[in-house]
Amino acid sequence: MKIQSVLVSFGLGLLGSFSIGSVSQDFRVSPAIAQTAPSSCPLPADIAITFLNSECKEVKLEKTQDFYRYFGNSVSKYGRYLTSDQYTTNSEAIKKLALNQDWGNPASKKVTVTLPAGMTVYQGIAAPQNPATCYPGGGQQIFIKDSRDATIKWSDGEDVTIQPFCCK
Amino acid sequence: MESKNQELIKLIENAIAVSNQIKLEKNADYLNNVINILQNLKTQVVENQLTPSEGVLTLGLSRGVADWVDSLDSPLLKAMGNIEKYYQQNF
Repeated sequence: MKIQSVLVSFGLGLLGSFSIGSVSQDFRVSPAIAQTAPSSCPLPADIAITFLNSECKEVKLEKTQDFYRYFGNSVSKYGRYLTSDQYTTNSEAIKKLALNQDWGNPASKKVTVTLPAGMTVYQGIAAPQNPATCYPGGGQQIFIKDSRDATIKWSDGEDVTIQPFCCK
Repeated sequence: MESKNQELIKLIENAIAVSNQIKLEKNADYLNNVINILQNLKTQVVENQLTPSEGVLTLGLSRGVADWVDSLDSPLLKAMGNIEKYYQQNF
């Protein structure tokens, strides 16, 4: 049974490599693969560790695709971490993407980041951060190696519903 | 103090030293914040108040630095990664 589910997972993974949406489903429906397969994230360990169980998937985009980034000011607008998830409140984004507030990103705005076809992204699940009650992670996490690539389009950004983030 | 705590403190102090070195060249405000985060972490280790990782939890150090650091070969990112890996493997 377990072997079957792993095989199905790999099958979904191959199909999913053609679109981010399908790959997202792969990660969500295949917890068995996380327990049985060794880490396959091709990123350096220093970066892979930011993904749950240090697992991520390298995906070359077949077409132009939109992702999102939650930020609070011009300093945190640009960066290498994006997501394919959309959140209705800043608090939800902070928790699911594990945006530790010590680093100064209140996630009060959302920018749409348009990546060009052919760009390589690394996709996985955001790892939990200490304290896990505040930053459980679990959201879709996308990593790009060069956020300054001139072919990337960053929208102006829009306000996100603010819900005071409480962490006890 | 347990040897694993001492080793983690060494790694944190190394990251603080790297941060101070980079701070001389650029982005002093941001790096001051990085140093504060590392100092707070060191205090938690010294006071034995660090939450166990159980092989899954991270400290957010690599995530925080990899987001903005100029080069992915940065010694600061390596120093943070060393802390994260040791924490996940030993706490």
